[in-house]
Amino acid sequence: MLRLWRWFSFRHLRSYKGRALLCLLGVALGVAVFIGIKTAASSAMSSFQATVTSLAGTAELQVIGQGTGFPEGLYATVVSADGVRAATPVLEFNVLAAPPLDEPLLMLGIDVFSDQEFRQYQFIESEQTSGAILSFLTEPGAVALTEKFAERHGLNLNDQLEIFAGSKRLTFTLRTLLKLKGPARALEGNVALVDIATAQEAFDRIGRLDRIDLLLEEKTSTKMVVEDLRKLLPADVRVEEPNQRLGRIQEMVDAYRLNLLALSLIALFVGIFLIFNAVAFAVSKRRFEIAMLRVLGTQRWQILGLFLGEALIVGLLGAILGVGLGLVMAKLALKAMAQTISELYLLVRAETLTLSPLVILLGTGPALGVALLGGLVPSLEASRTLPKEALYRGTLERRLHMNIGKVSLVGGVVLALGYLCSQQPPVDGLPIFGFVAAFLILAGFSFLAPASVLLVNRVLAPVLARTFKLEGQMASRYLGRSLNRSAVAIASLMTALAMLISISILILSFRQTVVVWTEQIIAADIYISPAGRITGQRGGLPSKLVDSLPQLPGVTAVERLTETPIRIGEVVALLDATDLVVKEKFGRIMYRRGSSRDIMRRCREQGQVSISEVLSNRLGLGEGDTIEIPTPKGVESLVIAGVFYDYRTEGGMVIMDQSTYRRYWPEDRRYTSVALYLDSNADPEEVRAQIRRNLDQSQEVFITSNRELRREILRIFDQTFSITYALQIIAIVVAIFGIVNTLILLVRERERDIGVLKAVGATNRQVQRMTVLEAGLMGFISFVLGTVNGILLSLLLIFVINKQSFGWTIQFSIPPGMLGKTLILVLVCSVLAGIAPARAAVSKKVSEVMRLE
Amino acid sequence: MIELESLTKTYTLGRQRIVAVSDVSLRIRPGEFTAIMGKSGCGKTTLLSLMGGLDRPDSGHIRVNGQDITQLADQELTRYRRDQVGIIFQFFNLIPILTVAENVALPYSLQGKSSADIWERVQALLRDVDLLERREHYPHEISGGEMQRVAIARALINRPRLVLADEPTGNLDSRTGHQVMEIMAELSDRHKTTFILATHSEEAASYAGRRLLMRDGSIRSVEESQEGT
Repeated sequence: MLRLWRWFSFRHLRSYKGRALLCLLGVALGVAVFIGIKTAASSAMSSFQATVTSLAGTAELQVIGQGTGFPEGLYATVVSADGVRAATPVLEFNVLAAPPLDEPLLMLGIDVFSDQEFRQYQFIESEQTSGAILSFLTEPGAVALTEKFAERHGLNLNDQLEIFAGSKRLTFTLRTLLKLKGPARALEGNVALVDIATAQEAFDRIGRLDRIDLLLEEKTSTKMVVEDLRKLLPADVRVEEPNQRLGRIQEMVDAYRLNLLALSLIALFVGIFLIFNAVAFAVSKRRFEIAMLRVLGTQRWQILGLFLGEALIVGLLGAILGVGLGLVMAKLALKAMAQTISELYLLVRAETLTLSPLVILLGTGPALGVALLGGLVPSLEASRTLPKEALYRGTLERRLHMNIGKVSLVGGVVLALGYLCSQQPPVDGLPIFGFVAAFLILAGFSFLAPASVLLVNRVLAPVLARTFKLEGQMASRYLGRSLNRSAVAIASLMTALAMLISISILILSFRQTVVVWTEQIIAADIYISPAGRITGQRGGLPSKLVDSLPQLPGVTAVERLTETPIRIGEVVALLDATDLVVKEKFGRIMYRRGSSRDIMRRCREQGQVSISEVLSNRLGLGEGDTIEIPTPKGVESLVIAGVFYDYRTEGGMVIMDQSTYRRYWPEDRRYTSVALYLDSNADPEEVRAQIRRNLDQSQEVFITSNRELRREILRIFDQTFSITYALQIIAIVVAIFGIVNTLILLVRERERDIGVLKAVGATNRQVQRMTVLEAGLMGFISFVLGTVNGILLSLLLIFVINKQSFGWTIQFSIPPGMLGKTLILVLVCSVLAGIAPARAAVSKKVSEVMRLE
Repeated sequence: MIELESLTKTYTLGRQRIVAVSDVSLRIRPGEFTAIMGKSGCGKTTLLSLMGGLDRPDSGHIRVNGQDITQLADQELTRYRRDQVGIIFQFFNLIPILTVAENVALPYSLQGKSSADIWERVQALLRDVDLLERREHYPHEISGGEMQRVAIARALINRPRLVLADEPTGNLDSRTGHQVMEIMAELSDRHKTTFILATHSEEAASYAGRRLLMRDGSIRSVEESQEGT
């Protein structure tokens, strides 16, 4: 067997490098996406884990506040609780180092004395820094940075570090450098240490803490300490073990990852067709060789092994290439992944990739499976071919023609199974059955491809014959006759197109929904927010500024907003407290049911709340239900007045009136953003300039116009989906190459026919036009089938997969412009794909072909 | 009138140079039925290819009614094949995706003419070869002899001056071969078309008015027959 492979398979692969490379690319793409996404996700996770564990140090339990934290008086309560051996207070801020540094920093306010038992900071000792540690404690503006961060930005001791904390611009002096060890490793070294008193003062948090880390006495039950502490602490303060944070983030990353993984499976799916094509090509090309081998006594299983072996070699090489590509892709996806984690949980800065052998195995395994699956049918055909039969071409074609009924029946059954799967509920919040249904739809359509090609071809045949005369007629007939080749190429392009069309419909429908939504809800003329607005930033706007706004000329109304993350059960959501009286009059919230004015009035007058659709789905709560919200005053049960559409967060939102918020969060005096409604004749630019003039030197805010904010939302939206577009384009290019591949194969099989045509007077141009027309026809039929398939898939994506994983309502719409553009793209690409085979078709002299006789 | 003058054609096979046609000079009169005989590899098919404009000689000239086809550009040569030559192959070489009638009409259709224009002629030719009933059949639905008769009809559709037949009976049993030769001889006579036949069958050659014997690329003897057409 080995000798057979060496003599036949390797030599053939060497002679048809281009074709082998194409298959290799198809498989590599699938593997790359799989490994890329998995590796990026696990790298982001491990970076997150490293941050969490290095920041937690030796802490066994953490008391964590939300929003603006909790009063420092609780520290005494916690320290004196049973079972607590040691405690240290912490303030945590995500700040933005001012330009030109422009990087996020995690600023930790610590109590150096009590902290020592928890974390081992290593300071760089030098003459210059002697006494630095001391000054770190005594000097109010002192900060310690990691050596890595300082080096990257050329910062030396005693240099100034400017940061944005909310709308404040703060200046610190670099007094000490930290080695990149222990807690300083968090966020890849983007850590700044200050004394806790300095932090409280600088960030207007006097008397408040974010976290208390705890060490427990030996032989104490952690569970009991947690229970005791919960009794002593307000409802919005959590007690948990450091690694509990990891479990929650894992779930979120899983949901995000699943969508991209589905994409990688589709790419692998295209790979199956490519391999099928390549092996079918090899079988056709080597009919004579198979026959001779069979005549010489080679067993059927050996022939099967020979061709399957070739498919496996291609699969294996594709997998190896895929691993390399995957790592490049992981590097690119890592940033996006880290950003998603940062948005909801903790600022994460992931730079290094974590390689897992298991992921690589999981990625390459399916590639080999794909290779086997793609190679199986043509290899089986090769092995079953009688020596006599192998001398004639067309045996495969006749077989497939006879089996069209059966193949279509299988397609129908697979589609029916797909429908059943789409009706199933999610598994652990994940749309597992939805993805199975997507796969079954793609598979079902592929099985239906031969029959559909015949059908569409029959409809198009008269049009082609009328428009393109004999060339059109022959292109259409040839296509119908070479179904076993053309249907596979068409199915492969159809799959890639279905993927492009379905995801485009999803994205464009989603985008259209968001556009309508932003037009309705972004009703104010100007929005003001703190300049240091980065993930997890909890700073507010200067109160003097907020108070001055109603008096500004041209301002009709001011809507103040306080945004704070809250935990409801296991769900992290955003709480938006707003001036509903203003919103009711000037703005809008899109509710899924009921009158918006009425709901807002109930929220204002009766202390009810509105929740977003996503949160409603996650918690299983709707209008009229009560929602339990942890507040500093205890867990409050509030009535849900309405459920509104919102596309800002994956976690969901709660909206309440400012008066309700102040009742439960009396300590929080922040306004995290403000919306201004102007007179109809006011000049927004003038108002903007006036606001700027009212600011102190040390304050920095973002002032955004209505239009800019809408544009920014759409920019972020488009950016989020850019990676998907790139992947789809690659899949289509690979599938188009599949058409080139198939046509070259078909031209080779029709060499004699082409010779006859030329012998009886066909010009080269006529033969070329025939081939190019056939390519265009294949592209067109792929488009028709891909569109039907894509629309079905998009319905599944929007109404099943999206609903189950995110719960957003997306208004389904098919953008005709997108379909038109796709059709042009496909026709242009497939006609271009026909050019090389068309050249090949006329490259041989008629006499050379005829001499075969 | 077809005139071949010092025609030579060589092929390179790997590192070996093969002389397929060597310095052949010949005249064939209009309407003549000529058979070129010889063993496999003697150069018969190559000679036919050169006369049919399927290939170009290395040296020498081929004049068909005074026009030197060796000097024609590719497009003109295609036109020559389409308008003046009909070819009949040993393996029939019908286009499998076209029906019998469409195969016959093919050279006409290649000129962009609609089938309506030529339908009458296709019908007449199919009647001549006794296949009118089978006009809607596809090649795989008819027998070898029938396929060759379709090929004869196709070769005559353009009213060519010259029909070249390469071993037309080589793939048929002797009875069918005989029928096919009868039809060819009769049509050649009726349409006053020059027929050149390459064959190694004595029986097939017996229908020809003149027989040329080829060996190693050259014509060794010429034999005129009174019985032939």
